Amino acid sequence: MSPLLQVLADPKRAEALEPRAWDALIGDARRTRLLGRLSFLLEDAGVKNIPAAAAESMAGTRAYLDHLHVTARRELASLERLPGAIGAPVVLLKGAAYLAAGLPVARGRGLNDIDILVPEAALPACEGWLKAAGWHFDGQLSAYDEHYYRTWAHELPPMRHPESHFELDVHHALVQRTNRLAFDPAPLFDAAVPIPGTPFHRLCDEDMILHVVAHLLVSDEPRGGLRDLDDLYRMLTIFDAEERLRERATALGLVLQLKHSISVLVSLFGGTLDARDIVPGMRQTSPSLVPTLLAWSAVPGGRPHHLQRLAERLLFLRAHWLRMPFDTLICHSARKLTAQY
Amino acid sequence: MKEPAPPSSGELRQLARSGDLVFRTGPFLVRLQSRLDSFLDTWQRAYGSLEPLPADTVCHYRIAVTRGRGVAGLLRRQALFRADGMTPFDPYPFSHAFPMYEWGLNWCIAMSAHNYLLLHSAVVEKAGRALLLPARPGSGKSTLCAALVGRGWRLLSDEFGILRHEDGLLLPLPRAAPLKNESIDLLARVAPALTFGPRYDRTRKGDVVHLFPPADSLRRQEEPARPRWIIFPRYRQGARLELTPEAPLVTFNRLINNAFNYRVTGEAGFTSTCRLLRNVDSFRLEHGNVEEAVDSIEALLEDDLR
Repeated sequence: MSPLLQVLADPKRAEALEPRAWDALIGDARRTRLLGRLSFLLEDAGVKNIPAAAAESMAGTRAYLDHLHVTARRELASLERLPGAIGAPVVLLKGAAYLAAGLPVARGRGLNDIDILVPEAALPACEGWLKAAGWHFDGQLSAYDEHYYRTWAHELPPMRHPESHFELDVHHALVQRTNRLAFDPAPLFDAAVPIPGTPFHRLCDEDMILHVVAHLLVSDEPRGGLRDLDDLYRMLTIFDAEERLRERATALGLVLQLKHSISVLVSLFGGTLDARDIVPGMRQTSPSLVPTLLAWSAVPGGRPHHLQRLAERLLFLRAHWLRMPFDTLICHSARKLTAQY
Repeated sequence: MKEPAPPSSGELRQLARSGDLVFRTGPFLVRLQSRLDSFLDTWQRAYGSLEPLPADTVCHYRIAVTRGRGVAGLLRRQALFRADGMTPFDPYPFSHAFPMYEWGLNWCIAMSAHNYLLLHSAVVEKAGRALLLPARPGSGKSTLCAALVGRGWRLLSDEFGILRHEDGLLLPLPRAAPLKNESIDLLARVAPALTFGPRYDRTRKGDVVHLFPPADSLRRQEEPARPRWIIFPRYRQGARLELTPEAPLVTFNRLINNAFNYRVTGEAGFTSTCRLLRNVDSFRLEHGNVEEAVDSIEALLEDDLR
């Protein structure tokens, strides 16, 4: 079993690792962007005798993350007038939400962009305000890209600011409009909770969990896989309102996706979640293809290289299959292919 | 005590093939995997005097230098750099595997070793006094650094001034230093004892020849040095030698604007930079002749020793 998985599941097990396993642990954690997370897990578990190279590597990552978090907070502060200006809630998503709300999952976690969710009706006002504040779309955007985002996507094209370290992604839904799993985002706003000390909101706990679930299973970027899975694992282990989560998954049409995600977590991290009745009847069914592929693709060194690549490709195809109706997909792929030449 | 013998080229290839070639470079431990014999031969010429460490050492970086794959790799032999499974660059021409490895390892350090303040600077030391030569590309920093090494200064690094926050000391990172081809003839004349590697034509940084770190630098790579001077060199053809004291605030700005991770290191970086500036004298040095520049630096040292 991969030392990274062992230690993510039970940090105390780091104390029994041989040097060769420590070496793999640090390399795999760096590659999956989990070195910061690992550092806090080991610290919280009071793990002693961490090899010097491992401790120093984690210290370097922690210094970087401290800087990144300060920078992200400063950039969020520069957006504080946005909710008032557009007269609508601005819901922070993922890393930005974890950080602003001070959730445990933010510790040791990096972020590449700031993701926000606003009601679709407020999108033009939001875009206008951001542009006036100096944000702009990437100049490389073709007319087709623009069309793609405006017609089918669940977000505006990514925005950049000359003074900003981060990309800003403005969403109006959690899942692409054309996706087979698309759902009406209105209930998300109704349930969103204010983040104390800020004018922003975040998704309620169960929606936050389901957002990671949806992202895991419809995303076409396998590299973030294990980090997202670990986020989900951290959230589920401290979340105790299984009934509410089940109801919400049913209402949003994400029951199967939730089941798949938990099945991956159980196969990767072992039984602590298995014992809980998050999705009834789950334990009777045999593991299905999707969770198996996700598990294969997410764990570095867990499977032979070609199997891992195969799993990544199948998931990529599946993500695209879900993402839009078949005829649209064919047109989109043709446009993307021809655009390269 | 008898020093352990450095590995033969066959032993080295064997270790590298299985990913068991582990060695120290300054404060970092590296595991290197490669089957490219020509690359390993050059590596051995540069670092062969290092003692290989046990294969089960826990390392900072796991690096692979491999053949490029895919269609492009079939048409033309290519070399690929991987660090912990990530590939920061497109493949290089096969024959440029060594410079690719050197830049790749620099990339790893610059991107991750934020537990130190990483200044962009050459560092040399003599008589326990370290000299920082921070400069932008094209200032003649590497040539001056190599000329000083030729005059008996210990090479700490051509690229990284690694400042340890805890004690304000500079940590060595003795590595092959890429020099512009033009300065090789000059250096062969002023510093005949130095060892250079093969020439690499038309790299990203022009035609490049590496100065290999002297054996003494490698042997003392775990011995930090106390900073004593900061000199901003600038070579200009025909210029008269001018060594001018620099105001601390000016030095501060030039130093941090040219550092790899000053912003990232936050308060620790600020505190360390302030301490550094309290402990050094800083100058700017304009010159049109590298030997005269070395003489002026030697004169500073002699003054200090008196």
